Amino acid sequence: MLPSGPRWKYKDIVTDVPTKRPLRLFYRDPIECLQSLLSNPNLADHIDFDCRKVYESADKGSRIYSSFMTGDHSWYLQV
Amino acid sequence: MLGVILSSDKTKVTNICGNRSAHPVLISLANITPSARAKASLHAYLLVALIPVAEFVHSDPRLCGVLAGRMFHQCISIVVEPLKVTAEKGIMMSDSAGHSRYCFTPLVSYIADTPEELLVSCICSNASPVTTATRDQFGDDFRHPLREGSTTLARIKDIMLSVSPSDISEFFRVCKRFSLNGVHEPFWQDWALSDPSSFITPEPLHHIHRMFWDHDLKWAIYVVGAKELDFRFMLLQVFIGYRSFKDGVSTLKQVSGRDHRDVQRYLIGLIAGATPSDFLSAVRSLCEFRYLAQAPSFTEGAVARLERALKSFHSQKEAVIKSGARRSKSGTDKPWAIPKLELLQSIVPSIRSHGSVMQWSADPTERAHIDYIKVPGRAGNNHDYDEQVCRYLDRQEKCRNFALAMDIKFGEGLDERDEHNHCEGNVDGARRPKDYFERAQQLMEDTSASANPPKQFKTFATSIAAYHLNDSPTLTRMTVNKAAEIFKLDDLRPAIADYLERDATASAHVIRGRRRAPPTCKLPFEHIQVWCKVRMQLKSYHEQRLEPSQAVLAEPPSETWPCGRYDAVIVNVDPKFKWPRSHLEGSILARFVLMADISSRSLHRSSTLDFSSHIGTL
Repeated sequence: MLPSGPRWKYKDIVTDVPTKRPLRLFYRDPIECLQSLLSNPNLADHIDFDCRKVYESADKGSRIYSSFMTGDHSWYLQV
Repeated sequence: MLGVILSSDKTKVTNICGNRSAHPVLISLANITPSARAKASLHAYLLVALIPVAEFVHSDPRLCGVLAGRMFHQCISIVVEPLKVTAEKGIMMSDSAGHSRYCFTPLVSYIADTPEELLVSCICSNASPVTTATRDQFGDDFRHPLREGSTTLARIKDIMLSVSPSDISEFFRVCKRFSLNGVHEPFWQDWALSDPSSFITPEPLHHIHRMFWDHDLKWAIYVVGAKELDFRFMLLQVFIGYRSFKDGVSTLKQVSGRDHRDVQRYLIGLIAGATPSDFLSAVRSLCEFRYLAQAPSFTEGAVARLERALKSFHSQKEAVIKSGARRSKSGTDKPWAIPKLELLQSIVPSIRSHGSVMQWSADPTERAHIDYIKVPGRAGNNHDYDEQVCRYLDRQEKCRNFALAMDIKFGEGLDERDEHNHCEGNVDGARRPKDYFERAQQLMEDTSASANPPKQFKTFATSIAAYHLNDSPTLTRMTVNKAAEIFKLDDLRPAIADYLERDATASAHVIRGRRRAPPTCKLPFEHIQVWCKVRMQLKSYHEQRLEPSQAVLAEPPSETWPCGRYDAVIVNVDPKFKWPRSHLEGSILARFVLMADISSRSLHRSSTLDFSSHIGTL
């Protein structure tokens, strides 16, 4: 048996108003999904855990905004 | 801190028969660098759920929409429940190096098209999902205050006090008054640090390109006239690697995002002269805004430029109304009721808080739909569709993990394989462009050590561009006079003479101006070799990454091309200016007419191949 990715689960959805066909939600645990992204060796070099403020020069005159981790929001979330 | 990205979009599964659609939800991490997230072959987006597409048995079709919205939020709530817990309390997770990290999982971005953004933020279509602007205010030249999740929740609670949510029609009626969409339990309601006004990020594919297509182009068609604009598009010279619009654009159907971009590239140039100048400059500033917004990184200066471009559109937008191009459907009192125009106001604040906007593009997520939904969907037998897709993906993932494990185990270094062909025999994985810079460099190094008479190379590079020629010339042993005749270049001979003279005296080469040598001057050689095609390669403006090479043609007149086929190039003629810092200053637009090898043995000239280029007044 090969190890699989995050496991699939399903749940029947009940709504107040009847539907033509029964509804079934297929989903996976998002935590497992994130874990599999984190441990994917192909992505290992591209993951970034530290938020930072990047400046054009040392005098902190002009910010550079590029990836999410260089924005204000990640800074705010971390603090 | 792990920034969670969710994305959802309804897609059709079957192409021809059967009306099956699916509603996949993808998950990714904002911690993954944007360039890696954009690569489909790295699988940075995972399918986390398939939301059932419901058909409700209800008499009022409008209320079915409300029900579907509630069901959507109900499903997402089930799926993201664990994330809400960890956003609050945190969880230990291990990264690929095996280190444990204490992680929190707030939702930082939800990538979706405009209707789905409204659905997520529980807002009805006459208001903005991000700010408190409503339909009449979409054209305002400032950003309205944010529509915070807490206010939306408080409003829903207020309504629930007076009307029960199970009385759908009454509940929806009251909700509409507050521009809500009738959903009473949004999935983000107890997700810590996650607010729709912040996680609904601008989405370039829809907000930028789609808006151009739906609005700017329609204005242009109205002002210029469909026939005239189509004619102008037909006149465009065909470039290799670029789409041509030989039937015009006004009748195109089923256009893709790629087409939007291609049309956008030409539009300003094509409508110039056919529209009032204030209309042109309004559209131009909007296009400028769009192009500036797509940069992968921004300095404060770039952000300011971006802001200016949008301001400049708003100060000039009256011109569009004056030209009659923009009319609202009902009367003329609200001419700017364009939701996407309002959303453009959010781009600048979003760059400051979330980084560049291109990383929130729906391009990679829509690409992922093909892998996760369409291909598996067609592999099945059209029954129990969702279940089969899950099984298919599960097996695929097992195979992928296995292949990866094998690769690592058997020493084929990960990095190496990563570079050559991103994992698991992915046929459509991104192919790397050939690096002509590297090749030219290598050729130079190889010979500088050994050969004394410098050799001529078919690949050579300058600091900004690399050139590559085929091994064999298109026309060999051509006399100068004959070439002049075929290419209809009367002054080829004096041009070459001038070139040789300047080269000998090491003075700067001038492209414009009169030829100094007489038309019958004597050249040290009579034969030249001519290439009709050269491949040029540039580095990308922002990241110094290699762009795929581009063929530039200089074909003489023939039966299919009675006037020849000469591509346009931009040539820097002033050594004082350096591309790209000087923009186009010191450069001229030229027509590339002849590429010839004029070096002769008797001269032992070290410079390899030279342009003889002719300037057309373009």
